[in-house]
Amino acid sequence: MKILFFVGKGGVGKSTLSALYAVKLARRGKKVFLNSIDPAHNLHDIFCINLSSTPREIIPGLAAVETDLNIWVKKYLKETERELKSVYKYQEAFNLHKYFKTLKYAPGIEEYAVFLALEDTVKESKTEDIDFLIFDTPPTALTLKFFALPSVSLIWLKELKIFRQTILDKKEIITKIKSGTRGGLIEKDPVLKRIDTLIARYEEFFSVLKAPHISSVFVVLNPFKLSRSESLLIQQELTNLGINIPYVILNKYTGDDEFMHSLKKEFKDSIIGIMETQNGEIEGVETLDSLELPVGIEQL
Amino acid sequence: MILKKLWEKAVLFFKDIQIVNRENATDIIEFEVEELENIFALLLFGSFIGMPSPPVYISFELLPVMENEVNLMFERVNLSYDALARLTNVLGEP
Repeated sequence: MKILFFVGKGGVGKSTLSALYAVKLARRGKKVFLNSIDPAHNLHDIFCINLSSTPREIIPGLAAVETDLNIWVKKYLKETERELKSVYKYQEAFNLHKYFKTLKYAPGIEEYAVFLALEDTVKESKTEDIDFLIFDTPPTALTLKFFALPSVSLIWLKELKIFRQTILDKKEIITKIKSGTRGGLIEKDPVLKRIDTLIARYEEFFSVLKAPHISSVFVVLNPFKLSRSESLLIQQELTNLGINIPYVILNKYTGDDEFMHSLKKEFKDSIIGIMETQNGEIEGVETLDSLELPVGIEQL
Repeated sequence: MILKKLWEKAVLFFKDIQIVNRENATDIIEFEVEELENIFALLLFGSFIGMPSPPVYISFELLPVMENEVNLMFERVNLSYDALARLTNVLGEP
């Protein structure tokens, strides 16, 4: 399975290009799943049909969804609350319920919802033998935060693990002195176990993001200054995280050779595809069928 | 007969001394462990009192398994006015 992420500044044509690739790949006989994780969904406008969190077949071989991130936030908070209630019987004293109501606005929760949604989609797609999983991503800020989430979390979790191990080592010494035997605390500690589970989870997901034979990032841009500088920012951030950008698509190209020349210099490790300006609205499967894939990135 | 009883008492006495010594030896480490656990909990849930903390989702993934640490943290808050007393209790009088 291959995972394609379409990223870029708002309005450059991420949704249209992800829809175009989805249709073209499905027409070539591939099994494609297109998922919009942008809170302001556009796919239903492009395909001219209603889409929701439940997959809907667009053409044979292509199913699409528009993921509702709020559902994921709610689901996650509800699960945590349920788990907490069973452990903290005195939770009324904590006023946890009130706290949970405001928690959905806590910083970081939105990108965590994106992470949960993506993790779930990747898992589902693996079991359903999908050939191409295509993500239409939210605007740059949220997307970059989401890409950074596994590595930021891993930094914290690894530090917490070291700290927890120090505590457990000392506890082990106490047990040994008092009873003369090892207590096996390190193996039994639920906190350490959970930290390990979380580390494994983030590492697995991060390795999927970083694996060039699985994930491919498509940076979409227009021949304008602002869209280019944002693309460079994306390039810088993703490179810092160790994620490659194999493809750059210059959308709405008007024949500006100078722009193309500098773009080739800036993205020298990426394949640059060109998509010329289209006349009229791009709506419906027929219109997408009539278009060609960007010149230079016809094959994946 | 009396000698045997005396011997048994003596053995018991030395065993108790050993236990007392062990308790004494571990007191300070135990105190340290409790402090570390308190800091561990504070590190995760410091946002409750305005401390910078890890991403909320990490704290909340761990919260369900941290009952002891959270209890300890609240207990420490209650005893915070008397931290020195607790310390001298462990270290013994000068």
